[in-house]
Amino acid sequence: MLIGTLLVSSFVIYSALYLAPGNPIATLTGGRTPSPEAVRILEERYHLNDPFLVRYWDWLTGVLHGDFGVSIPLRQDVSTLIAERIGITLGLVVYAAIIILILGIGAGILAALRPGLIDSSVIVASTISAALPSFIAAIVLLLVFSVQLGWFPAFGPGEAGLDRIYHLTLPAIALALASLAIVSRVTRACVREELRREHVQTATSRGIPRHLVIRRHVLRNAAIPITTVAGLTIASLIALSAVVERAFALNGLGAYLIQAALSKDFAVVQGIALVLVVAFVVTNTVIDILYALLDPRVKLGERAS
Amino acid sequence: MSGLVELDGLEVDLRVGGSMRPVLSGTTLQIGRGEAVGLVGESGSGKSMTARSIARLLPEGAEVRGSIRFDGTEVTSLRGADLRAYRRRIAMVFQDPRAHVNPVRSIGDFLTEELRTNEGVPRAEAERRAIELLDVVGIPDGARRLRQYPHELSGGLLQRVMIASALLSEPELLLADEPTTALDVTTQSDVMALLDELRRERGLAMLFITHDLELAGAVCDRTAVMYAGQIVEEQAADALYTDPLHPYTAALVAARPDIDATAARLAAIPGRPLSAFEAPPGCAFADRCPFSEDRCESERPALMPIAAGSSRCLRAEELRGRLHLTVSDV
Repeated sequence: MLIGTLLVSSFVIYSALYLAPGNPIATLTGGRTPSPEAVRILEERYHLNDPFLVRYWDWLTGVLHGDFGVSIPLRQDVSTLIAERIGITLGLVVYAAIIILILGIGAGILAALRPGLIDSSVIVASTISAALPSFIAAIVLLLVFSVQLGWFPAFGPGEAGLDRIYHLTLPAIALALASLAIVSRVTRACVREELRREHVQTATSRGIPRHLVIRRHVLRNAAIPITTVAGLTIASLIALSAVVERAFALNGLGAYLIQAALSKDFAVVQGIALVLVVAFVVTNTVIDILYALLDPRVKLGERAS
Repeated sequence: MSGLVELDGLEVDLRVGGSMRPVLSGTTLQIGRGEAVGLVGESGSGKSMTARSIARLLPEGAEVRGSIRFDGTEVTSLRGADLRAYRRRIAMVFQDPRAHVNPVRSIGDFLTEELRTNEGVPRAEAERRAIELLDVVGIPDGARRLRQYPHELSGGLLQRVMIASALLSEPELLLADEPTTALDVTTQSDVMALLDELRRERGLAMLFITHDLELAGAVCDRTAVMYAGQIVEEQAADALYTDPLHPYTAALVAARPDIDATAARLAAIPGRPLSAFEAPPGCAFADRCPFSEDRCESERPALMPIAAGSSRCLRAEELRGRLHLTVSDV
């Protein structure tokens, strides 16, 4: 299942770029018309004239050995280029995911259990943050917290370690905001719904203290749909990170993907796209496993009844 | 008879949309220790709301007036730890076990939760007692069942589990809200027989809610009939058929299908049942009652003792003895 998904997506990625307009040699020669001799040498070096399936096969076997090919404009190994940048993207996504899980689920639970002022504030806050696309959120955060207040750096990933966390704070918030709203809203709805369930009433009727009823029956059961939504939202951050990385001048995978696509650096685009797909598929697999752990009615490898 | 539960003039209003709607308007009922009282009536007459009021499980925003006393203590004002302590002395068996058992927790967890949480019984001891009780309710191989989940059990088995869990905490009062309605017919009688037997053995008081007059007659000492949020008649269970004290009861008895007779069309009470909030100023049953007079429309009858029971009918005395005969001809 997992391998099938990856194989199909790798093929789609490769063929999409094969069909895309543009020619790496043109980029390489910088718009000048190269001699036919030079073109022939270049085409031979990069196997540009091999049949499509042969090139796909070469690429795929290379990838399986950790070789993503060579960036034609930069003349560097794609795997090295990716390795240099993957840390920043990973850090950014994990940081944003932690913010979403803690604040989003926390605010959702609080809003569900405390109707009134807290509930209304969470709803207003999540409506605003859901309405903000991440590139606008990034600009607003930059203006307020970097330019006006000067609390956070405006760009760059900083040095590894604590400085990196400090530099990634604003980007992570910008990336998390919209998803934060979704996750807190869904959490609130799920907890509310679970509170009304009959089995919660059974627990209450037995004189179980309210905080235990909430923990064992309400939150435990609401965790199942919340996991699904939180997982999917976090997986989608991987793609969204490109926008935020560009806004904060972070040298991550997403920003590099855009740059590579603009310069027709196909090998890099293919490599990064494949890495993103793998990350997405792995995240989803983790959700599926969690799901089976949380819900005894779901067995791995079986259809849910 | 010492009353274990005494409802006195209980009125409950529920919030529906922006306004309050009465669902119980002056319910008065006693349940003695070890006594089984049946509560019958059509849907929406307030049977479940009565049980919920006793268990303090009314929906949020409900307004309660009147009094509910349990073993001498006023229940309506209990809060916090006192309320939880009170809830441990009653147990509820619900209509739909599938919905009332948490689907993601194991049967063992469901059965032992109260013992472990409220009484501090160690898990091993609680499980031993649960297995013992599963055997009593007719589920052998309890140790294996404890590891199973609700979706792996049939509805009948799950209702037995629910009964076991109700008995496990050794309550004094059982509130059984249509415990067999969601089960298929063959399982119904088994579960009912089991519930009846266990209750008698343990000397438990029970409020048994059902649509089924006959079933109530079979397992209960006394039966109360509800209509539009009020109790309209109450007396010994078997006397309901032979000597109904209220025209509504007589109509219910007449509307039962007879197994020996072939009827072209099943008997039905004309009109539709009223909810408490629609009740007119006079008798709630007046517009469906073949015996109603002018004063029935204007004067609200009170629940008055008559013979060995009580009736909420202005003409109860004069109609007595004629009711069931006349109504079956209507």
